Amino acid sequence: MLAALAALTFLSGCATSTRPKGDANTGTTASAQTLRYPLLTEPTTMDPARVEDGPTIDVLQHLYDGLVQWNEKNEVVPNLAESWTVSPDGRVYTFKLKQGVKFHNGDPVTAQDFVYSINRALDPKTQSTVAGTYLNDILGAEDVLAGKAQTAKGVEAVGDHTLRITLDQPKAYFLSKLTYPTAYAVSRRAIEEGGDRWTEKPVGTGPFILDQWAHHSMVRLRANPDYHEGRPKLDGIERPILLDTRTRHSKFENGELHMTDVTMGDYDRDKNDPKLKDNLKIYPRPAIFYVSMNQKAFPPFQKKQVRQAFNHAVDKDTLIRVAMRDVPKRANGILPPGIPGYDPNLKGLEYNPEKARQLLAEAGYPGGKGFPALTLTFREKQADMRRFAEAMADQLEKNLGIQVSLREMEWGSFLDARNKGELPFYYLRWMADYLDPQDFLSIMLRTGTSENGANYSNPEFDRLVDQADVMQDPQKRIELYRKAERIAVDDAAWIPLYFQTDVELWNPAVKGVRESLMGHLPHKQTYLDGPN
Amino acid sequence: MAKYVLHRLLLAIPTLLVLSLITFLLSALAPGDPVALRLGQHADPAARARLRHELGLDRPLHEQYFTYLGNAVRGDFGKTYRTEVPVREIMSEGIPYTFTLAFWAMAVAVAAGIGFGVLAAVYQNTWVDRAAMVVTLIGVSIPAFVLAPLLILLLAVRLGWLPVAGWEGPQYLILPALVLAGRPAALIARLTRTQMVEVLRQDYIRTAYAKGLTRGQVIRRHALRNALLPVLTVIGTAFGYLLTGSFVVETIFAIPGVGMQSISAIFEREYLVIQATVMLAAVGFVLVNLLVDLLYGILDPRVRAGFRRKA
Repeated sequence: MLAALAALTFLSGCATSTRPKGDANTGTTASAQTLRYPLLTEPTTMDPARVEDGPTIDVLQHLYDGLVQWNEKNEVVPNLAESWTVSPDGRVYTFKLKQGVKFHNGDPVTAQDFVYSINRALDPKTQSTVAGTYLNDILGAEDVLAGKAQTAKGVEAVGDHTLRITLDQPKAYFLSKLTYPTAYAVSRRAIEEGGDRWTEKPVGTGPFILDQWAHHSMVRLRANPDYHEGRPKLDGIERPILLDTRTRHSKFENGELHMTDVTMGDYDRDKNDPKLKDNLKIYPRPAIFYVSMNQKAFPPFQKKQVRQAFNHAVDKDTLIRVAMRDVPKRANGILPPGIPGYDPNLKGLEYNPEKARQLLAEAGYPGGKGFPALTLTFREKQADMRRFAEAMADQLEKNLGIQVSLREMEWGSFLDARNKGELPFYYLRWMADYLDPQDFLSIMLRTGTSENGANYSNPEFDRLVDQADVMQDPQKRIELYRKAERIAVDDAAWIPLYFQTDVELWNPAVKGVRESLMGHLPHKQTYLDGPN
Repeated sequence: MAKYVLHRLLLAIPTLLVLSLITFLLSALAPGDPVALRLGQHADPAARARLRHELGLDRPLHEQYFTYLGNAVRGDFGKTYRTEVPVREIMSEGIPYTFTLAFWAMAVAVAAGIGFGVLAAVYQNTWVDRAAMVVTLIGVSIPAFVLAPLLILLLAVRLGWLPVAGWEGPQYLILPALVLAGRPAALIARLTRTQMVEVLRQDYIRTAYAKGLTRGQVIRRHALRNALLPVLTVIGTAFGYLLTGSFVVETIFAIPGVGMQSISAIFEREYLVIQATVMLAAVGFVLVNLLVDLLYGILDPRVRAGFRRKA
């Protein structure tokens, strides 16, 4: 009896749930053109207005479209907007929408859908944690976010296929922000009919349609035959949810996945494995790992010489070799390669232990004497970061005579403590939300911004980035950001360490993947060719 | 008998109450603010205050606890902070997977454990005995997070006999069930051997042989039935292991059961899911132990007499 019950359970999955059935074995049979690659966690939502994590964004970019999108050259190019014009003062964007685009439920897409989608994302009832970051430049957005208005003045439909967005000030990076899912088109009808559970059956305009969301198990997508850029070459995409790194790796080795991520530990082994070494792919990402020296929480960091001494005392090349298998690129400045304004000639504060000791002595701490106890905090369970932090603490002790203890913190607690300004010295990553220098320099280092955990402040730096943020001329704008970056580097606002590089394993049968600095672009052209 | 069952169930109430209080307090004191989880770190203070009120987080801790308890008794464990999905629904999705895995793991554990134990006892002090005990020693000592990758590497990656992980057909159940069964099988085998060795020395066994029964008949009809009684207790304890072990095994083998959901909940700081899992595990543990005690009574007349006296 029990055996029968157990066997039945295996086949039926979740009998008591009111959500769509949740086991993977009830799905459609995978065709030869079904791409399989893992999701590292359960998707946090299917609502583009609320998404804030990379793995979920990778699902949503297949289901929905925005006005604009990234291409392989890291440029913002048309998507549902066929074209656009910008007013001479840089504040008014007029988008001409493509004709004949349909939601997955067959409804036509009009400018009114974008008015609805943007206002909905801003509405406090939607509880989007990201709308304030990506849509706040729109005139009247702040009022909607604060619950003082129902709609933003700056978003208007001018006819069925013309959308006008007015900004509070000219912002050269505005189009980049529109690539983020918060600004994607959602179907009002689907949301209103679906009620609380509309995200179980999301309706977008994207190249794929959600076929099945088996919670904690699998996400299946099938090609949208009516996609406005033409039907994708793949029939479907299967995303098994695999939390365990080793499981993902083993499934790739066993031919059960076409692609997977690779940890630095595995990379060492895989690059020497004759079966796997040719399947490794290395990608730079628009992210920097850095050490923040919090000037408020730790007064010695208010002295520029101390901060410079710390910079000169860290031998990044050795650390990258020892802890990171020489994969990531050393960071001399703040802006990662690929971000407009990245300066390949920026030398930064080079490794020079002699100079470091001298600067520390000038600051009043000869040989590290009298320097208060210091703790370097970083996110727990990150083996690569731990190795890096240990070696860096050794170098600081050897080169400056300063004892640095290490503290690993649970991620939530780490963010809490960091946001409250309690961490004096921490090792963290910042990844671009959009490919613009403003997202690094103005957001992270301008006086008083919420992300400026180092409490760095330099009026000249602020003046430059403020000017650049609203400047229309792209060339002059980049020059201003470059100047600002050099100031921050000379001031030793941070210890920039390295730029993120991801390693993946790919089955050779996977073809046509379009890649950008932000990650894989939607699999509109991807196909499988050959044994897989 | 009914009174005994009632008595046992009443005894379980204080245990569950204490456990609910501990898990509630741990969740309340754990770092991370549920309001910040839903609205983000830099949300408008008024919106944060509004949501805090809606979730009842602005009320005194004891009030929050009693509300939680009242709702939990009715099977309402609240909604997840981030996605606002009822926790009861998440649990009901996960339970069938965990149950199926636990059932087959237990079936493997009982069959292998009793088999190895009997063999070791019957061939006591021979190489069979020693080999069985070495295997079981390894079974007891080796944790699931070590055994699982080893078996994956051998049976899936190297030999290609089985899939690595997932839940896409019966063949996907074999590896996780084997891994999860390892430790309880070893415990059952060691206890079965001890009991069998003891029973095989008894006079009635000698009498059975004297009556002309074969070794197989003696073992099946006389020795095994008596030796298995204490093994039942281990099965009860092993159930607890299966629940905790499923956290690791479900994560490694990507089985969307309660264990994997809990691991996700821990990463996402969805404390209500964790609370519900702990309570569910506790209730399951209490019920299985009660069931084992009742089975004991059915199998052993002496215990049955005890029920009557207590009642």
